Amino acid sequence: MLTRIGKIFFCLVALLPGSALNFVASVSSTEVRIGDPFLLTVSVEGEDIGQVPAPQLPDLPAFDIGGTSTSQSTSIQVAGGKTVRRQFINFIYTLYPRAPGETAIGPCRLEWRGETYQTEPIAIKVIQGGQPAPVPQDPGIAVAEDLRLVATVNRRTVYVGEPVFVEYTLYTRLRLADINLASAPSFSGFWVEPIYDAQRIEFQRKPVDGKVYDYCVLKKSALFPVTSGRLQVASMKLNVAVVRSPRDFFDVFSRPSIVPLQSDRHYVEVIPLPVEGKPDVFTGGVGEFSISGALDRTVSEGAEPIDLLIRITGSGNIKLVEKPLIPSIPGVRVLDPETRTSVDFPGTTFRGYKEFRYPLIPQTDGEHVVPAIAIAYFDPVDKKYHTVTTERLKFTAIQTSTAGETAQAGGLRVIGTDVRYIKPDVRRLKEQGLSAGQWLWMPYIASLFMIGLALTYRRHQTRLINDRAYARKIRSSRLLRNRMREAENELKKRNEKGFYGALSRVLLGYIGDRYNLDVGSLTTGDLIGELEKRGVSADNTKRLSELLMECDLRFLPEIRTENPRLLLQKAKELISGL
Amino acid sequence: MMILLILSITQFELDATESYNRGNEYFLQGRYSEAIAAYEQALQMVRSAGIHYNLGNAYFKKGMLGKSVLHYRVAHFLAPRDQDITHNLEFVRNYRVDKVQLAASPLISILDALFHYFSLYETQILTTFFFVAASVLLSLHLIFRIRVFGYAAITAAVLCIFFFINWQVWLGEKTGRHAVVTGPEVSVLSGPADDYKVIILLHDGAEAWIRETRNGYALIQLSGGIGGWVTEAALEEIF
Repeated sequence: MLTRIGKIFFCLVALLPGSALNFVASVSSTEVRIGDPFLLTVSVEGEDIGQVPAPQLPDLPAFDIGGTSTSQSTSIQVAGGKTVRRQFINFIYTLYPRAPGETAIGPCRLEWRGETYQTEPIAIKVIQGGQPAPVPQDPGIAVAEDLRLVATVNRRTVYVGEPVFVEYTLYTRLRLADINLASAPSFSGFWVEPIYDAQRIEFQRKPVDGKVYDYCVLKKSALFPVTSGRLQVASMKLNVAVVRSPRDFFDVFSRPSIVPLQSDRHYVEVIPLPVEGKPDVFTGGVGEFSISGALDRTVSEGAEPIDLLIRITGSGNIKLVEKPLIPSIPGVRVLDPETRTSVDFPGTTFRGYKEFRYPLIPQTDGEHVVPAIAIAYFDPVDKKYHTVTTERLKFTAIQTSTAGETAQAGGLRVIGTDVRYIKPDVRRLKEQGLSAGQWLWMPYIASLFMIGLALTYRRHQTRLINDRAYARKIRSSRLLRNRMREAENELKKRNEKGFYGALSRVLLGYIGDRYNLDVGSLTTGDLIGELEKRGVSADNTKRLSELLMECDLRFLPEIRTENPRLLLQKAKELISGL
Repeated sequence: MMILLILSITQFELDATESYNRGNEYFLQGRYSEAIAAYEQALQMVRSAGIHYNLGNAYFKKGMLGKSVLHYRVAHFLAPRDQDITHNLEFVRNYRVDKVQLAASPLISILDALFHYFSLYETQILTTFFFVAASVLLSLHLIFRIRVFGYAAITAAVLCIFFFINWQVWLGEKTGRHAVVTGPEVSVLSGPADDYKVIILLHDGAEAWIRETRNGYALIQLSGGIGGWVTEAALEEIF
């Protein structure tokens, strides 16, 4: 989108569906004075538009066309993680209004790749010319005499591309408290190269017209006209805080007065470059230039690119010099160049160089010749075009084809290489994951769990073999169940003697397995003592002792006190308590 | 719900296939910009080495080496044994202005080829398979105490380690913030601001590794260890 400080008119955006071309027209101002030039800029934006033709302008009966120029740029934008590279080509026309009133610039047209684009009309208001509004001033300050902002240009008439130097200087004989920039000057129709911008105000002193002034250079720029006609060097505006001399005692504490300052506007007549005698190889240079060419090496192996370095050196509008045309070189592909510019301002003019680095890709083996490369420039001193050329350069390419290494079996000779062709159409594309999903961790957890189980089983087996107490303990539960079942069976059969015998085996067998004791060789008293040593509570040993005694009384039924079923329940409670 | 999900995935794949085949038609007619748009549309729906490969070809025909290298590298990541992808990636690398390349020794080259034979997805699956196999065989060995199971478990574990290293190599490339220069020329500065000194000029297609980012600038490292700061807009990360 075009933007300009101040008055800008923005009109049609012709964006066709499926096309990446924007075609836009804008003007530097929609309200202009008679005689003052303004710029009509027709912009084309899109991809691969290097060969786009100039747009067709509408009839412009209300304007004179003062000159034309073009400018190009490339932008790289990143949006949504994608990089988009677009070219911008501006066709700039300087227009002069003829008569006051309301008028319009009709639609501009462009035909490109079978499509027709056009812009919207732009309304223009032309007013009578006049002087800039006078600067208001504090009645107590003689601004016109004591405080001035002066713009100076070194030349009034130049050729397109020839620099004009403009300088803004503040002169004062007053005490200043503060200086603020209200409006920076704009330079429509110029390519601007800043030379100096004051970072802080440091006054020096010199006499002017018999009076001594403090002065400070605020800004200095080199302006390279890119279009012909009468171009304006706009004014700079400042707000200056002036400390007034106190008129009485109370005035000592008054605030400084703010005084707006504005420099004069200047006009520069820009002469178009002569059409007659303009060489085809003119690349926009205005000044004095030389050209040199070199290769970074003389042998290319395996189709490796060789860099052709073209350097244009001299003084003038070096930054605006366009790339030279490289003639076709048989058997060599020439890629677009990379550009590097270095400019210096030693005091009176711009000097420097512009380098174009062209990668040359040899397609065939053998010696290749880069012919002399010519550029032309316009010298404003003698008002003539001059052509300068490089020397012819040579290099040798070997093994440009990797497949055949020239002659192969069958006598075929490979003369070039390229990328392999695209993959063919498919019936159905399948998603290819960059990596597996989160489910991948599940088999790992399951595997580790399985190894844990196997290790536990292995340990259990080893203890069963090596640890008798462990083995008896493991077995005790199973044996207990069998013995308990035996006791219950005896009870069901109402065989009291058998039941008490089975119950005794339940208790003694379980305690023997549980505490790894040889109960057969122990008396009841010894057994109780061993259990107490192993930390069994006195209550449990007492209950065990009573139960064993009841069992021992199976041969004396007349003195038994307990119900057999109750005894079995007590035995179960005791075992679960152990 | 499951059926709806499957149907929507199928529709995505069919739409992507239609865009991909349309891109091939454009490519055949030499309409590379349209081909790129069609392939990019297909990529929005389905990730496939074939689409990235064809996209790399289309960008190369447009002279956009950086984008071409970027898509060939993604294609190589997805299908590392595809000879067409490997060939074109090397071919386009030779077209670049910058010739920053590591002088790899034969041993390094062999190891590189070995550890890039299987894709990341394949190495993840194979690592998991051999881990499970080693676990099952080890468990059987622990339970039944049969030596053959022990030897088989060791073999599976070695293979698991090999594929795990493969996995980590690919993962390092995926998460290592590798990037490609996609502008015509980029100044590499000594600090993260435009008033620092230019120390290197990089060109379209140069590959780098992003170490950190700050204030819209990225600290990059090139093969061989040299590097500096460039604007993030001039780079495009591969993953």
